Amino acid sequence: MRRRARFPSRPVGVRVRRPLPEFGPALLRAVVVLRRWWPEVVLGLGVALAILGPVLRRGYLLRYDLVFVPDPPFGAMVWGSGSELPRAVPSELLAVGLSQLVPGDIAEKSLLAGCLALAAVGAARLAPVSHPLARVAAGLGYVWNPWVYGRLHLGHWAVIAGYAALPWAYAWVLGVLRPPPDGGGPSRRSAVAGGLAVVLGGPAMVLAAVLTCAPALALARRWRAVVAGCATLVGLTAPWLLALTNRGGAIDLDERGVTAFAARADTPLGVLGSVATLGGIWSRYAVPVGRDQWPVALLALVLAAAAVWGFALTRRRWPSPAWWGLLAGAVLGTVIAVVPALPGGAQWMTALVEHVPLAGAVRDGTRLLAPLALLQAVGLGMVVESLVTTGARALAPLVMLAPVLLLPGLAWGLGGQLDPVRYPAEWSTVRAVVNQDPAGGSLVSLPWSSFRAYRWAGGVPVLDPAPRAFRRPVIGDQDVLVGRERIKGESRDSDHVAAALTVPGDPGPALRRLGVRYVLIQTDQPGGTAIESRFADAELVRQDGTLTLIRLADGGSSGSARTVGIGPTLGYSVLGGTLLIALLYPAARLRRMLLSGTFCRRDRQ
Amino acid sequence: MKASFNPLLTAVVAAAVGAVLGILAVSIGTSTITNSNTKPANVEQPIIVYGER
Repeated sequence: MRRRARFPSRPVGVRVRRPLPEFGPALLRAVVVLRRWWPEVVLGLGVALAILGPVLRRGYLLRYDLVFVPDPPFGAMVWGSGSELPRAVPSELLAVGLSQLVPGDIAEKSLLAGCLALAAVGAARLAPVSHPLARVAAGLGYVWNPWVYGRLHLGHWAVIAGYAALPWAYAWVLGVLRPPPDGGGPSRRSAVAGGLAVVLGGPAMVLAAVLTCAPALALARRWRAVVAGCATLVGLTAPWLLALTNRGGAIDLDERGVTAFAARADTPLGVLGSVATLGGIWSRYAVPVGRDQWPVALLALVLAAAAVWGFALTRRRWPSPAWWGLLAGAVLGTVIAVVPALPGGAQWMTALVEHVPLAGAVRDGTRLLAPLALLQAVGLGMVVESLVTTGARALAPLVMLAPVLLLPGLAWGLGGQLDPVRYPAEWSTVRAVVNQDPAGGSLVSLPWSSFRAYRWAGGVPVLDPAPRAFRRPVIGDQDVLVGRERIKGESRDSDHVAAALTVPGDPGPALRRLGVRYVLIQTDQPGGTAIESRFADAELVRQDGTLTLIRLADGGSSGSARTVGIGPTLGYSVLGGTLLIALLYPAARLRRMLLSGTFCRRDRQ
Repeated sequence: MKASFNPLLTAVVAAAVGAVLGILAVSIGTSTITNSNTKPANVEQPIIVYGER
């Protein structure tokens, strides 16, 4: 009886097909997500393909600050243990970690594509609009603009990662201020997870995130959320902060960088007009083709004005503090970006950078236009939604595609400028020799220039790959040339080596005294052959193609190249702990405490 | 339900504030004490520009 009651309707001889419990819910969830968020999914994939389509074949993208190497080690650059500013912390850890799972070139393009897709999807989901065209317009407006073009041109993938995290971080703010009643918008967890990537962008993008998020929370008097959010940011930036402290000494930024990296007019509309249309980047090479033409500039200004008007329309759709907060953040960021370009502003900003620690984050201030880009993206989505609902439906696709029509140069690998290349074979040979040497000591990369121009990479200026290729600290030139202006770097070790190189004759003994064990000379670079001939009494380890590796006898033999200091260990431990608290489900209560500052059931958001 | 004292949140905030103040103190202190290596070395440098205004 008991058995019959347990299986009451199972006929004898009929096989019952049971659902797969492992895959059923996941597939169902995927279908639900796709049906609901298909415009965002299509947009994310489409944007990544449209921009990176031609470079998705194998090979490395090398240009300006975008440098990935094959099989990168967890070296000094990852830990920020050199004497230069730890600019690559913690983004380099992600790049190197991903490169352990997949080849480095695939990791590079995955990160780039992921950042672009994350930015588009984040903005599309943030905008308080419902029509698919409007959501796509918001996402497209956030990704397809001169700001992203300039950063992609200069290879600032980590800055783009911070930019991509911004809409997700703001979604968290909206969740704190007003949980969506219908479940619309990013879920709390996804908003937190996406927003955490903001720290990859370095201090400037962290500042951009604070400018974006803090005003809204402050206006709503959510002080506990402000404090908790700041504590989370401090926890996530712990590797950078500790590397900075461990480095010791002053942060002696060259004040000439303020004017060199200040916003400039890249349109006929002047600096203000250029910045209002999300341009104004300091390098004239990083400006899309056509922006210097009046019709393009005027249309871009009209589009920006329409987007701001659209943002004004969203006032009733967002909580008042959220609306005013984003507006305040955008204004603050724009002011910081513009000040160095105004009369007298450069002196004021220079004094700030000289006397206030960490104020160097505002150098290259156009990075702080990210909140304005977010505001305009939300506004553009609202404009399209208004067109759809007011009957001007035919105009909606045109406005949605306007960013693409005004900036076609972003498509297809920056109009063919991005080109995957392969490192010559000698790089892996030399890397293996140096990385297998257990002895300590640093490596000096010569000729003395922070940037290289490889013929096999199209002659595009690119940061010296050596610091990323070797486990031991690599000392190279840290100065950069902006036009004829030489902006001094911040590394004391580089200053010592530079001083040793200025003395005529063999620099080997002086370098040996500085703890240098290897000298890598890239002979295909300007001045490479000349510097090679100066090392008379050194041991030639390898001379392959374009690379010459020299070992200095007894140079830097004390210590080990594989040791990681207590500072990086502690910093990344704090970062890991913060991530665990923020993301792991069992720590949901802690996450509420740390990320929203609320822990009462009634306040659950 | 009214919020009460939370030791974990307090500890996190205290640690964050302490870290920021400590870094500021170290940075300001070292910037006033050390003033070395401000003289740029006049080493011959190949011309590969980062950009141009």
